[in-house]
Amino acid sequence: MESKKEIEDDALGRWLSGDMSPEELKEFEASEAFKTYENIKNYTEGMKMPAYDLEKEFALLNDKRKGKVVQLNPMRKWTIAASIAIILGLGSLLFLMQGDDILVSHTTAQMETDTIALPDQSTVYLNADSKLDYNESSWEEEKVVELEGEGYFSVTKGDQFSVKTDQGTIQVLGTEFNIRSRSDLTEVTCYSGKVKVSDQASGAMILEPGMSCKIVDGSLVNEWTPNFDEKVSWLNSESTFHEAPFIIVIEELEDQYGVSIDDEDVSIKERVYTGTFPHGNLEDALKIVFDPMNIQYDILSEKEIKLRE
Amino acid sequence: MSKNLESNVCEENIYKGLFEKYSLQIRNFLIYRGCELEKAHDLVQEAYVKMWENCSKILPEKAKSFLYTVASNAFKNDIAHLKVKLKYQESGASSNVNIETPEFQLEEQEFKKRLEDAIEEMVPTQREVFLMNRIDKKKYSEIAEELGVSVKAVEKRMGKALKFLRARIKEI
Repeated sequence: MESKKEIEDDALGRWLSGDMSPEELKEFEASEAFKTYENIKNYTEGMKMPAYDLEKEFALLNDKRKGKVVQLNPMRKWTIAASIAIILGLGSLLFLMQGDDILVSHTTAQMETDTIALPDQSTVYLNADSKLDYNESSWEEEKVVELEGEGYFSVTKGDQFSVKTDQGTIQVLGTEFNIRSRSDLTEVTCYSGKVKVSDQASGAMILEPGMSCKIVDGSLVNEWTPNFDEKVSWLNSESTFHEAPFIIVIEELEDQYGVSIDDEDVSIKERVYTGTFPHGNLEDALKIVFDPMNIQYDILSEKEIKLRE
Repeated sequence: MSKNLESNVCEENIYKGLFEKYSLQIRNFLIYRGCELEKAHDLVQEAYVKMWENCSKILPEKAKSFLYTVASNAFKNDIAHLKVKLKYQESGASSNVNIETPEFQLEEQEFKKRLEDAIEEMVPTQREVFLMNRIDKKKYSEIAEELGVSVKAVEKRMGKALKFLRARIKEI
């Protein structure tokens, strides 16, 4: 323990980028720790990564690119599908071959969300316990995805795009919208652009920004106005972890909420965490992170939290 | 102007330019996260192949974030140690100088070794920010943009990284 109060993280960060105020700098330079930090700064300045041969790497890349243009036999396609699965490296991603089709399937478990880039660069934020499928081979002709669960779609402008759910089809043109399709209910909320929603019967309606509608048991029911903030809260901002050491999760909580979390009385060393906590609501976040781990927490003050078993 | 609007990543000179501009920094980014060297080279290539396959839909100004997204999706490992040895620039001067600080006294070689070991063991979220700045000489604002976090968050991670290194170097 140092006798003097330790320098704040962000101030130390600003020192390295030369953004400390003269007063701050003066005080920092007088501190006992300064010389060590200066040595770290100087020595890391001269650190180098292993060499990188740009020309050689580009030549290799060209071979790989050419390989992709050649007409593929089925064996070859398998290897490509496999390599794509490795690139994305997600346990939740599955490729299936069906004839010439490449079917892509993303799933999320509870407490898990995923961001998916579709072939046209549209983005889907998939909420927990959800599934998104599409056919990559026929994407150019027909941009269709199938959704179970909840997803927020940000669709590249100018693209015709449809989302199928058990209950009906949502057609869009360069827009942002949220679909929640759970059991017998599909809810669609439009955030920008226009969305056309068709049910399994012959009902259809067009949503404009701020409008929502529901399909219940396969039939459209009247539009209703959602609580806008609440609707997108799951993707507003959050932190997601996959089998992360628990200490990292605690650090991220500290970072996001500007609090200090005392973990002295709990053993967290061996624990890992998979899940997501929201930003902007500390109590929710604490509950979401610590309840499943059977850790109690006391909020001592606005800035201090203490953990206990 | 109209030519500009039409240009996309399929144009060979643009594609190659993007490789020259970003491939090394993306390789380094993967290594900072804990990826092995050969694997990092492979993943960079895969990201560029993927960009090639989608080239008609990617504008050059979107290419960087596309590449970073594909690369960081490809390697997500929250507990990885640094697998690649960092090297020091040859300074020419013989290096066995004493590092003196009010806190401790170490021979230069020992100091370097502790520094390297500490960087290896650093939490990847701090290490990637720290080395993007120290090795790739990126500004905090660039790092913030590439990682999708605030400049403030970068400052804090840099500060945490420095504190971690100092604590490790001091430890006897």
